[in-house]
Order: sequence, then structure tokens, then C-alpha cells
Amino acid sequence: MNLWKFSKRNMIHFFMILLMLPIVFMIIWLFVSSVYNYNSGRFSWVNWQFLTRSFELEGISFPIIWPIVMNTVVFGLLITVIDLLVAIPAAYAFSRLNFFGKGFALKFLFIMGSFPGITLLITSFFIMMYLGLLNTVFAVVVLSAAGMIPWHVYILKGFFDEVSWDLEFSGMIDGCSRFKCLYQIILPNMLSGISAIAIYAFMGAYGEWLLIKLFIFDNTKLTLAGYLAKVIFTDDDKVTNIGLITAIGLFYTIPIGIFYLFTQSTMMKVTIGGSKGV
Amino acid sequence: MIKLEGISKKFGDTTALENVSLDIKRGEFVALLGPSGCGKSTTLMILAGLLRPSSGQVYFDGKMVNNVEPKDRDIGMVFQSYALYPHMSVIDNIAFPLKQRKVKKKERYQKAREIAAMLQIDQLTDRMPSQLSGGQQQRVAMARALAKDPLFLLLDEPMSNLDARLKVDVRDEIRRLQLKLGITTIIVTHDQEEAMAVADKIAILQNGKIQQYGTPEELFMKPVNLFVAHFMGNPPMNILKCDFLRNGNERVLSGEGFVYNILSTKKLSSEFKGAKVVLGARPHHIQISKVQQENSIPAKVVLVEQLGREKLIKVLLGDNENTTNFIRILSPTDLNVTYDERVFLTLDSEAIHIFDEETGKVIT
Repeated sequence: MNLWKFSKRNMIHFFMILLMLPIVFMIIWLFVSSVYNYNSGRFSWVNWQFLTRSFELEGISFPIIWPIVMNTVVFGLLITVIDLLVAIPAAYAFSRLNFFGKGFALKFLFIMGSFPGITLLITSFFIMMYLGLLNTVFAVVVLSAAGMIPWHVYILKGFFDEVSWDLEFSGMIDGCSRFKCLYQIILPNMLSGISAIAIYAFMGAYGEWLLIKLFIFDNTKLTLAGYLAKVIFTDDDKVTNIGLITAIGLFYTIPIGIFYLFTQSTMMKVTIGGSKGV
Repeated sequence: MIKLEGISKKFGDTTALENVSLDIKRGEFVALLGPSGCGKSTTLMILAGLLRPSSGQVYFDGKMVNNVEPKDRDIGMVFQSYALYPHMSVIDNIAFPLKQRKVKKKERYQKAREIAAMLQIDQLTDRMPSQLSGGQQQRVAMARALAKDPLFLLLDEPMSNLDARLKVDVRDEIRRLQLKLGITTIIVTHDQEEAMAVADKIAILQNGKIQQYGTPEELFMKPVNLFVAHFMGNPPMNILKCDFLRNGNERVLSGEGFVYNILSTKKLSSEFKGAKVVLGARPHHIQISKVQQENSIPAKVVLVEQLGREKLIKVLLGDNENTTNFIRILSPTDLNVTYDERVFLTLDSEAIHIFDEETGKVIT
């Protein structure tokens, strides 16, 4: 019996490690590619020079990376905050209140969430141009948040639905106004949902490069994803610098890995739709 | 004093409550009793202010409170699910209503501890609700409801999630507390035994209407209609459809498998002129005998259940095999009858109830 248990656990570990190997291998390869030149067969840290100084490569200027890391964090937090500030009250209304056109609005949200944002790019570009908001962080923040909010409202509504009416009624009887009920009783009981949405929003912002590529022309307003996109999408006649891509790519991945280590326990509790994991 | 005046509540096209009026005196323990969907919980929600009545007025101490928010109504409430705040410890749960009243921290925890001690949960105060058993959660919910010394206590099926033995303990406890604090209490329940055990007065509801409002004895002994008669008491009252025959001074009930002569001392409502009635007799008001007596009804035993303190005997009425009218009788355990045995039943003439079949109203 004990032996069976022991070997069963070993089997699980064995397969988990087996499945993990390709990913570990890829990360190691990324690192090796960034420091090893296959043609000359020499090791060098030259591809990591963005850590210490700005430089120019084949006509493209690369600023030093730390202000861009800062930009990324600010940009990510800004989108997360805006996303939560809009999505939480909206989801609360969809879950708890009855209002005219609720069913229609929900369906519309669903369509909005499913609509590929890329098809709206041209219109968004013109709108931002007429509003004079091109090359501003504001434009990217608004468009990026607008793209995420419909789904997040949908998911958060599921979490609100999970909190029983009795709890809210109880709060009202114990002396809370509707608003107090929301932040003293309901929100603390759906923290896992809110943190999930916050993580989605931050990750979405972290990975956002198309909007940045399109709307930001200024090196000082780049985020990490945009920085990476700068190397990949060079002009056709230029040779792509694989070493530099792998170096920036690896640098770009590290924070996500660290972030995941801290948030995975929250993420594991959540399934989309709002029910808690068993 | 609570007063409901002509309360109606509609949800879309369905009517949940229709013209409900109720008077509750200070210090009274009132049960709202009825089957599910009868409107008892809706009534409680309206009292709590969680629902607005479609029409009618609610008065607390003579003041109309229709538009008063639940938080300003000075009530404590225990929900069926207990609705303890899962993210707060027991003591924080109990102190929460006081916190909302901006009672100082030290004061409110002291008060919460007093209440916890009164409900014998003072050793659980640091636990989280998820670490408590059902009975303990119920006590915490009671403590939280009582913490702010409310004017009224509302209990919504507070015992339906407890097992049978615990239920009896808890209902005694609730009654003891209510008497000790003298707090006006309204309990919603579907369990007539529970209502009879704790309440000073019972309002029995069906289809959104109050059928009868009175003391448990009144409801049990003098039901005003068939619904109340059938709902109160377990096993339920035996109900037999029959014809009402007038023959000079004699009044005879004749149904499938039985004929019964109502003793002339029994008064009947003079309003009743019809011919179709329903005879109601409680299981313990029927005697079984092995010999025929005057005005007795022949029957055949089809089932004998030993309940411990007494026997529950099911008999088929009539002296031939073709009847389908059967009734249940509670009799002392020393009565020795067996399956298929022929017996004779005598009804206690003073204890029977006769209802108009058409309206269901009592005519005795």
C-alpha cells in the first residue's frame, strides 16, 4: 500500500518533470543563444549591453532598458487600476441590479469581448488622430483597457453571482448602506476573483505591443514588449539579430516567471466563470 | 409593536402576498407558518425592509416604516444560511453591527464578548466561520443578530439546517433567550411542531394569505378551515368527504364506507345550507374497539406501526372490500390489533371538525 503510494507519487513527479523539460530546455537555449555566437564560436555579453547603456544597431537606436522597465510597470499598473475601477462596478450592476436593457447589454458585452480588437485598429487610429492623442500613453491605456474590460466584467459578474444574497441582506440589516456592503462584505469575499482580474489586466498590459508599435513613436515612452517588437519587426532587407532578440526576450520573460511564482496560488483557485476550484 | 396593514406583494404577474394584516405586540414570539411558496419569507423580508410591499403599510411602534432602509430599522435577523461573514472571525462577526453604529472599539468587543458568553460560544470567538459546526454557526448568527439590542428579532428558518436532535435543543434555547430578553421575535418556519413549540402566536399562511392567526392551541383545537386543520398536527388530521343529511333533529354524515350520526348537542354554523361536507378527525380522537357500539364505524386494519409511546394504526373504512377511504389512528400500545382484523371506530363527537367542502370553511 505504502509502496504503491510512493511509486504513484514518483510517477507523477516523473511525468511533470518530463513535460517541463522542453520548456527548461528552451529557456537554456535562449540564454545560450544570447551569449554565444554560432558563427564565430565565441562567447560574449555584447547582446546584453542594453542593461548598461543605450546603443545603435543597424540604424535602430536602443535606449538603455531601465526607464523602459519603469514605463512597463507604470503602464501595467495604470491599466490594471482603470480596468478594476470600471469592471468591478459594472459587474456588480450586472449581478445585483435589475435595469432596463440588462439582457441586451450582457449580450453586447459578450460580443464586444469576442470581437477581435485588431479589426478596430484602423478606426481607433483615426479616432486618436482626430482627437490629437497619437503618440500619447493615454491613447494606448484607454484602448488597451477598453479591449480587456468586456471580458473582465463578464468574469467578475460570475464572482459576484457566487456571493450569496443572504450575505448582502445580512450586511444591510447590520447597518450597511449598499456601497458599504459592497466593499466591506462582498469584495472581501471575492478577492481571488479580483486578483485574478488584476493579474489578467497586468499581464495583458505587459504583453501589449501592437498598440504601442502603432501609437507610440517615441523611444522614451516604450514598454518592454514594444522594445522587443522593435528588434523583431525591422525592415525586410536587414538581417534579424537573433542574439539580441533572445537576450531581450529572456529579460522580458524573467519578471513573468517571478510574478507567476507569487500569484500562482491565486490563479490556481480560479476558473474562468467565477466558481472556485475544488 | 409591529403592525402590517393590507400588505400585498407582486413579483411581475405572480402575487406573493395578498392583503396581509398582522398585529404583533411587544415581547411576543410570533411564528409565520406555512408550506414553501406561501409567502411567509416574503412577509419577513418586507418586515426587514429588504423588499418593498406593492401596497399596504408597515408600522413599527405606530410609525410608518415603508420607506425606511433595513439599516435604519433597528432589527436583528438570522438567515437560514446563517450568512456569517466568511472573512471575519466570530468576534468580528458579532461586533460588526456595532461597528456600523460607530460604537468604540473597546466597547463593542466587550459587548460582543458578553453576547458570546450568553450564547455559550465565548470559547470560539477567535475562530473563522468555516471552522464551526452548523450548530455553532447558528449560535454565532443569533449572537450577531442580538448584538445591537434590536427592537425586533427576525428568524428565517433558523433551524432547518440542523439535525433533528439539535433542532429541539436550539429551539428551547431560542425560546429561553427570547423570554429572558423579552425581545419581540418573528420566526418563519414550515415545521408546525417547531412553531407550536416556541411561539406565543402563529400566523398560518397559504397562497399569500393569512389563513388564521392565533395561539397554537386555537389553531390546533379550532381551525377555521380545512387547510389549517390539515397543516397543524402530525400525523395530520384525517379528512373524509361525505354527504350531509338532515333528518328532522338528526344530522347524519354519510361517506364512502361509513355513516356517522352527529350528536345533537354539537352546534353547526347556521349559515351552512349545503349538502357536501368534509369530516375531520384527529388521529388521537378516534377510539378502536373490537365490539360494535352505537354510532361506531366498521373498519379493517391494514397497517400497524409501533411508534414507541403509541401505535399508529391505518384502517380501511367500511365492512366490504371495495372502499378506498382510509384513516390513521393513534392508539395506546396495549391495544392489540393485527393486520386484516375487523374493528369498530368511535369518534369523539366533541372533537370532530366539519368543513364545507366547497369553501373549506369550518361549520362546527
